[in-house]
Amino acid sequence: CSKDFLEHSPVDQQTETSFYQNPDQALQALVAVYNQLNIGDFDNIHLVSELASDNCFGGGGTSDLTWKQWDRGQESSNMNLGVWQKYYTGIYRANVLLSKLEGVNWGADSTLKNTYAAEARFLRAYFYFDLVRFFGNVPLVTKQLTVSEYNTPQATPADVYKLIAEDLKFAAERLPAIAYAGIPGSNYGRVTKWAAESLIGRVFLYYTGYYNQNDLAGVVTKAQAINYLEDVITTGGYDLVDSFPRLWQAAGRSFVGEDNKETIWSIKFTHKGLGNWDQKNGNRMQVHIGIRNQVLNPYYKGWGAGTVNPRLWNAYDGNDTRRNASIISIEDENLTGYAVGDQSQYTGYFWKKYQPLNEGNADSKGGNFQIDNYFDNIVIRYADVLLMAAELNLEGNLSKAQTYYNQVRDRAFLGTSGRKTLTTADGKRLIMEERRLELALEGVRYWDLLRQGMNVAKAAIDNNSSDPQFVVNFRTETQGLFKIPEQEINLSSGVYKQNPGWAN
Amino acid sequence: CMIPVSCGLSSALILTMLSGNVAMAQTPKRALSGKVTTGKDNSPLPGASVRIKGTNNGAITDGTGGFSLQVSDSDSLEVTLVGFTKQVLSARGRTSLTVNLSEGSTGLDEIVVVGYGTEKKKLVTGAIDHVNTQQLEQNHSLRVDQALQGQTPGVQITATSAQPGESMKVRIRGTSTVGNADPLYIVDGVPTYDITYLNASDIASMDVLKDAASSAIYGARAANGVVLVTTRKGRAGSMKITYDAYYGTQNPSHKVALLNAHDYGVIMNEMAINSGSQPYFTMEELGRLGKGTDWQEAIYNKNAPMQNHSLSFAGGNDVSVFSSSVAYTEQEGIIGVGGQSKFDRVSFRMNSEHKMYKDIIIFGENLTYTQSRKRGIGVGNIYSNGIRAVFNTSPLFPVYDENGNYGKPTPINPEEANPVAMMDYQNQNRDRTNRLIGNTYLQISPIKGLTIRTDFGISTSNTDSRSYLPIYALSTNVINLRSRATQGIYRANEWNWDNTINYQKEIGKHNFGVLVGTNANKRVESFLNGYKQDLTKAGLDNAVINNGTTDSTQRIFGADSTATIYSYFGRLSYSYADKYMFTAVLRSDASSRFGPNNRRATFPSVSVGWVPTNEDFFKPTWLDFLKIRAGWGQNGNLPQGYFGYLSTISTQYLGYFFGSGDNPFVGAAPIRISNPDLKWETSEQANIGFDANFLKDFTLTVDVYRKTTKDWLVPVNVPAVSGAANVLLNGGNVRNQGVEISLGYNHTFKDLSVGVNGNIGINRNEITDIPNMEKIINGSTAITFASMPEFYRAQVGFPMGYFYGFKTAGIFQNEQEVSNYVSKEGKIIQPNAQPGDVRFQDLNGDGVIDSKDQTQIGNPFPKFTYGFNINLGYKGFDFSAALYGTHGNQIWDGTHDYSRPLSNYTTEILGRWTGEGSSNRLPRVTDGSELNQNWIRSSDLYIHNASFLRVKSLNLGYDFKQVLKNIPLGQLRLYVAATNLFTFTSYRGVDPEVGYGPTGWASGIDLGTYPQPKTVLVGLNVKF
Repeated sequence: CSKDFLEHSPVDQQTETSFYQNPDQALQALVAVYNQLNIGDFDNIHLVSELASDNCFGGGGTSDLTWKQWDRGQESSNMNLGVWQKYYTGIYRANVLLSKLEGVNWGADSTLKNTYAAEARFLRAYFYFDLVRFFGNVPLVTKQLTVSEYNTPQATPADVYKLIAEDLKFAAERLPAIAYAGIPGSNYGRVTKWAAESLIGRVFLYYTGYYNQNDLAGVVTKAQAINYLEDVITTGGYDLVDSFPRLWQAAGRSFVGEDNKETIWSIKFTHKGLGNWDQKNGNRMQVHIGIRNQVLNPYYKGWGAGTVNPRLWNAYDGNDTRRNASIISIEDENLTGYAVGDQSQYTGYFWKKYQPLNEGNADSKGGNFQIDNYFDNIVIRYADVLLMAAELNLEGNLSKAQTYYNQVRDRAFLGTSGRKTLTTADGKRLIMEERRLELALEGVRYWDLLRQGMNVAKAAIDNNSSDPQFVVNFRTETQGLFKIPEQEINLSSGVYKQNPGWAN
Repeated sequence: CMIPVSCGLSSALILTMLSGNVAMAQTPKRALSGKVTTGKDNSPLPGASVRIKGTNNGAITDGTGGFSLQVSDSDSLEVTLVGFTKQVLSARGRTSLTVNLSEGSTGLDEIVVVGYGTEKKKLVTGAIDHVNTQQLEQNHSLRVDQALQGQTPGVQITATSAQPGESMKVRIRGTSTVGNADPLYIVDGVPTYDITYLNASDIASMDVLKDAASSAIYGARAANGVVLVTTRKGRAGSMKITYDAYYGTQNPSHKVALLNAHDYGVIMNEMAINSGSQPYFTMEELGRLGKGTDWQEAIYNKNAPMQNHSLSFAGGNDVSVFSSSVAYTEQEGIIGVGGQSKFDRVSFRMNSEHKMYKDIIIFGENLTYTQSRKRGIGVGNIYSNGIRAVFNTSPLFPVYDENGNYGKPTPINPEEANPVAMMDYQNQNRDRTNRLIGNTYLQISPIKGLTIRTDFGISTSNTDSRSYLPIYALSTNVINLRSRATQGIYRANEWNWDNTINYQKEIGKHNFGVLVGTNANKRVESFLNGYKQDLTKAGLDNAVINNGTTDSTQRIFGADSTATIYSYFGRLSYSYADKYMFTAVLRSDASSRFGPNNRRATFPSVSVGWVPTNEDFFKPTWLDFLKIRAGWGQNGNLPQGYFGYLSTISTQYLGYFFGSGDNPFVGAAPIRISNPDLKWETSEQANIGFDANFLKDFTLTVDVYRKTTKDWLVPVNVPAVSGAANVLLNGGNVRNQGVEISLGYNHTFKDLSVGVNGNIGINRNEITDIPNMEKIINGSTAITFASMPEFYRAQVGFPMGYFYGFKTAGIFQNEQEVSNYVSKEGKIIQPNAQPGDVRFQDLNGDGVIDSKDQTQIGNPFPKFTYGFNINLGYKGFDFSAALYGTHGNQIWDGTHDYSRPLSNYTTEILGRWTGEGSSNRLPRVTDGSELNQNWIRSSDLYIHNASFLRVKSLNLGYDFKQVLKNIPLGQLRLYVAATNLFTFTSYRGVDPEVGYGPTGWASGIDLGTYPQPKTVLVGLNVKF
């Protein structure tokens, strides 16, 4: 009697031993891995890497420090904890699911198991890629750890990239080759073969560039990387949207819509959290980069982080449609009602990509503008695939590279007027410049700089100004890596080593 | 005296002897009649025993307190009644007498509730403070928990918010856990978490079990101390009707000195110039700014009324006794617009006891039902705190514009919102709570000394809450575009069943007592709430979910959880000739909140006492009584969570929205790493003390204790690779050690009775272990504004929730000082500093200011707390005063929002640095962009001395029965009282009593405190 009286089980939760029995539960476990993509506040890698690059300053309010610290490569205690925790939580959930797949009663359907495994491994690779390029030296965990295993030391980057490459290869091979047009609308956001192949290209370029290697950790050769990207181009069914401004909600009235034919993979966000701070399915980056504390039609408002460096604005040709589609110029757009207020590092330029809009703003949809912005975050779009393919083909097939490059540039200039000729000698520089303009504010620039070497990165990122608030000095001793959170180093009993150039 | 506090207060012992004819004749026997009344109000005391000392001859007083006896001159009369001080009087020369007995007096026969029983105070071996009804009544303008403040050393009571209806933070002998540190309350045997529902005049006594030896009988939940509350019982033979009422008004006692518009303009201009931008105002504009708006005035509810009416009936016969009451209390808050801060409560109490068969079978029950309603403004964190906004809004725009609408901010700062409007719009809410708590019991005493008792109690609480959010647009960010109604229900149902067998046996001078018992307890909590937008009808009255029209934005939440406890316990007590006492307690508890591995735990305690003054060899004339006590024991503390030992799979907030139409998909993941070994948090405590009565009128109690709470159930950070942000682990120790002293003096000088009591509790809190590599539990960031780093934490070697940050060393007065501030190696330590910036101390001497230079800069815990109470009685007059203070604690003043440069300041900013020699404490005013980060670092600039001494209450009353002897009333007392009339403190904030902390283990963080009102009231006590 006493035993029954004292035995209860949760009424609204399964336990680990009772769960992971059927395909529905496996899907729920997979969804929770996706869920971690939505996590991130100040410290999401997209925003942080833009701040750290030459595209943006820290901005925000005069007393807001965090954004400026990333911009200037400054220290603060326990910085980047959110980034670290986000990815290891995602990796943990993927590992749990992968370890439970065998125990699920799949019935007759064997493909589902492969699909879920492929998606989970893709997501794990995605998380590891963000982690390893952000921190450089991270523990490699591929299973649920017991308490005694918590002090797993940092792995060599090569080992981490090897896992990433293997996971992505697995996903590329196991996921079905359904072209864009055949993907049901309700599945948008799910990982595809094309997403895996495109990410292999990105990882390949970063790893071989940053670490000066010939192949991707012995798993993917350059030729294979080219094949993956070209498979996306030839059989993926993707294409460029006809006009660049139509890609972005804030860039005009003829937005082509999310999940368009250029979106190879995006992180899905929604306003449906409806003001619930626990829900975390909204795009937090948007409120950070929104124009600070004022609604200037057609834009809504935010905190004014990541004020755009005028150098980026000036890098565009006057006929390049991408300039005004990527950046808001207070002056050019004649936003006379603008008040600087306590905006710090004001440059006159704000993000247009991802800028929240007044029409259909989160508040009006019953949510909260701080947490319920809902523009999807595009991780990889087709233009990036074209430029990556162009870059990889520079040495082997210059004409092919030129074709891919032209497609991107022609679209930007609405014709062939902006064409430039790639050469083996100068092609890399042109493509990198093109990536800067095409993919501005999309979380790519910083990594593109790092993979060209510390000298290139420093030359681009250093900012001299008579106004001390705009002075940025890239510290090459960090190798561009960010500070590992102090708390994690302490909790590891000192097993983790801090990155060079960072205290503690 | 066990509890000098109570002695001090209750010593209004007035013994009046009406001398009759002085009979010189040595007649052997003659008649003597008299009356026994209470010392407090002269009401008759039926059922008192009047016995001729040394004989079995005596009488029991009747319904009017009267008695008559045959006495001779050589007789001594012993007058006793349970709960009252024994009186011994000579019969010589008297034919009639009136004996006034004092409740809860210095008398050693006073009865103390010890948990599952009572004990004579003189035999108690633990540290128990007995607070009797009189103390509570004298402060009955206060709530029960407020009235306890300053009465007992070692019990620190702090307001987290003085909003009507909010409870206080009660800490017995320090904060001993990072989990729930509230004491356990037992009301008439029923455990509960909160006693704010109680009506002060229904309480007969409160006993605070402070040490482990005395609280061990409640083992599992007693680690934070136990407060035993006994409500009033009826007495046989009398019919008593009492009416108590008071009415008073409350006002803020202290206004924060904020800048007026002109001074604000000056400071803002200076801020702009110092930060490299253009001044906001021309000289001419400055001249026109004037005083501007005083937002504080606009939110104060001046002369906020409070009133209380209580009517009680008590009486009985030799079979049944009863005590019932009905009471109404109402209090408006001193802050809030449109009656937004308000509390009222109706309560009914019915206690009765019936002798089913002689004294052998007794049946009874105690039941209290209350219905309370509460409306409140937001207090607490910066996002909900309505008071904080008042401190930070510029005085530049009016509360109302010329059309009577809420004033809008000026173009200078379109971001700021009218704080009065915010308070109005964002606090449209009300709660209604129904509470029923009580027990029913059956007691059988088949043979002398043996009592078998079964006691079944319930405690149930149902709260309905509603709120309404209107559409508004007050500034760029303070807007709400869609109206919303929120409705919620919260229920907690608990039952508690105790079965005990108690046997007392006296063999010669040997006294034995054995208690064994079982306890079963079940608590079920559930809630259901939801909201819906776009209401068809506006207003709080219409705030029901069905009033919303938009299904797509409707949300609903609900949960239900159950916890059970099953326990066995026993107590052995032995005493010899009232000289030597020994008590041992053993309790074994099992809780559903733990896994099978460690579900049951055992908590022992032993204590001993020795009364040297009862020894033949120890008879100092000045020392009337001395008891030395020592005890040791263990208690448990339960986790607040339910399934901490299990790895549960959650589906809450783990979903993802696929597809172009945002199709929600449910996600599920383990949210916690299982820990099947999870076990009880244990508090181990040793206590040594003594109680002394000396020079007839003095009482002194001293206790020294050391309390170590170990194996906290603490969610500690683990490496993120584990997949969990934290894990619930056992580990971590905190040590509270201290001294409690209470000194009382009571004397009656003819008509004047004097009672004085002072007490002091000294406590030191130190964490000795935290179960992770860091040895730290971090505090949160962004507590005082978004970019504020961590400034409090729990860490080994420091007090819990200590303030953490940089030490400053004045202000750089000039460039030279900046360049002279160098490390040993000659490196300039703050190269970015400018004159007027703060000099931070480079504690580790490495030439840079970074996190390694942070250290302890403050302690939220007082070094000691103290209370001082005075009671005077003169003929029909009574006067009492209660003072309370803390010393040596600090406040983190987080009221200013440094993330908004245009926030208003207090006038303290007028003492800022403006040039060489102008200030060495307050830096130049900036917009926060200075590279030196003057205020965006956690530093001692934020630390303020929180010591205070408060005159909590003053009461002056007169009983008109003294002059109107013929009125058919036992008492007609009128009184005036004032609370919080004076507060002495150097803290400039609105109230130095700041209990707020973002977590239970943090405190002393002022984000805008709802201050304690200054109250003046008049009252009436009538007894029929």
